[in-house]
Amino acid sequence: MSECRHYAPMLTSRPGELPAADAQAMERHLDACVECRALRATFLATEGLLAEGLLAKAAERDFAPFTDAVMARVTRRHSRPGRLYDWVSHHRVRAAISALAPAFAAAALVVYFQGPTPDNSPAPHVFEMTSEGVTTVLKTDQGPVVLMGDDDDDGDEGT
Amino acid sequence: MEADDLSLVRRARTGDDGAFQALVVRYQRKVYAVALGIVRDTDTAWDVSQEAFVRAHSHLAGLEGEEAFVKWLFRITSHLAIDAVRRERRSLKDAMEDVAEADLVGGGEGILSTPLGLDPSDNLLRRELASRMTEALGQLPEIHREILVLRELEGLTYEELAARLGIQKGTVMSRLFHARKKMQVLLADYAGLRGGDVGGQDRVEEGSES
Amino acid sequence: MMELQQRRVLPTLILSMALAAAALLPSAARAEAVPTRVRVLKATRGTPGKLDPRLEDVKKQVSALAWQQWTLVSDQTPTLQQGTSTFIDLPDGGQAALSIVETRGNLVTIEVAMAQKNTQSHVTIEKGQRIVHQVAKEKDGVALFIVVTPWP
Repeated sequence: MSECRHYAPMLTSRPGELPAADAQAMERHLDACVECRALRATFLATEGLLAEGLLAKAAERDFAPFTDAVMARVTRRHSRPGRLYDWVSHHRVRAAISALAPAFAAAALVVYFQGPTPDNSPAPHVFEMTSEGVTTVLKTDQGPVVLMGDDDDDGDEGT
Repeated sequence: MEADDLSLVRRARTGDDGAFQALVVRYQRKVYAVALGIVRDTDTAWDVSQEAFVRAHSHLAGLEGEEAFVKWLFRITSHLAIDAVRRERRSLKDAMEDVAEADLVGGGEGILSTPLGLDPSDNLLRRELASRMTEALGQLPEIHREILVLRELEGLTYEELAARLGIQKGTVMSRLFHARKKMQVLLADYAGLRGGDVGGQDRVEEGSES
Repeated sequence: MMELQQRRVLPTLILSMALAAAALLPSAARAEAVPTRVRVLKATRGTPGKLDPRLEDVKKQVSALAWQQWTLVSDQTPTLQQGTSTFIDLPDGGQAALSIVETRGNLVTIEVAMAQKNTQSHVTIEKGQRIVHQVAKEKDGVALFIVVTPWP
């Protein structure tokens, strides 16, 4: 049974996602274990259905006004002057920056990297992007690339 | 991406709003589906979807390659959706990532595979089950919803999921297992009521998926 | 909010920095100082691609971007502080303000702010990595970036 615990999370792996040795070991286990075979069959039987269900829900919705609404937001974004986000007003660093730069009105992006896991194994290089910012962040294993969005109010024309 | 997708993105990057709108029309439903899967609420999903396109629009010029744009669009979508429910998280702890013996109890019944295995071409059953799964998704904790949606709709690999969610690959795999297991439990009643041969676990064979 | 910020405008830089130091989050018992290398880059489009040889280490990070030609504008090695901003001059007349938010072992959180823009980023990386941060939108075909490398 403890072997089943070990292989359970692997049951719905796709080709190439497991190291070859693990994949082979799993298949050998499945050859011998009716319960795990059945469990995998159950999982595989429903694969793809969630996507179908959500897309079906999307298909039910009337998207006629969607594009116009997006373009209206795009236009508003380009013409809106600089703004503050609520959470920034509670951020003390913003107060420091505003003292340093008279023209500064902070619309902040917090991009952070999860620290080492509790067992101190190397952390994956991951970034989250909050909804406060409009900046794009690209993830690489050598560090982030942070791009500015068109929303910045420095007077530049849009792209 | 299809060839005309590439030219749409190329034109959109030069400021052709008509091309960008065509992209919106092309991807709006899938973007909405991803958002809906994570946030559950249709109004929030609608708002998140629109915002995702707006954000993607503002970065058209900065990303190289047309494919990068579409990938980025979905990445923005899931980030915004996850952010939208962050405050609703029932638990921030990665509890129950390990697979316990109790998780495997009842796993071998093959309840769901049986009805589908009996008639893989039963589109009506498939549609009903898909609809039930979507409803059941809403009953899962947020961390399970998001990983299932990213896996099933965006088709992310274990590595990509690990990177996107900031967790290790092993955690991805066990979290997916728990999410699917919970989904199975939620759907089990439905499959039983359908009159599927719930005693069919003995007959479940490998490869009986639809 | 805007009014409040304007009332906080101070006549001298020194006084501003003192206020800044007082206003910062007390996240560490002592002020952190991290030696860094800060490079300012000009990015333009056009083929063939060109990368200043001194930017070889950022090649991978910039390869995903739409600008193919990268020129080094300035290269300095300031020690970034917690509670105090280090200003980096940009060729468009603007400035980037860099400071340390916190350090944890091999990890450092750096704040990148542009006084003339509405952005302020907190980016956490580990030793061996670098931040490539756009600091000016493309104008007349030129975009500006800075590369911040802690513990170079």
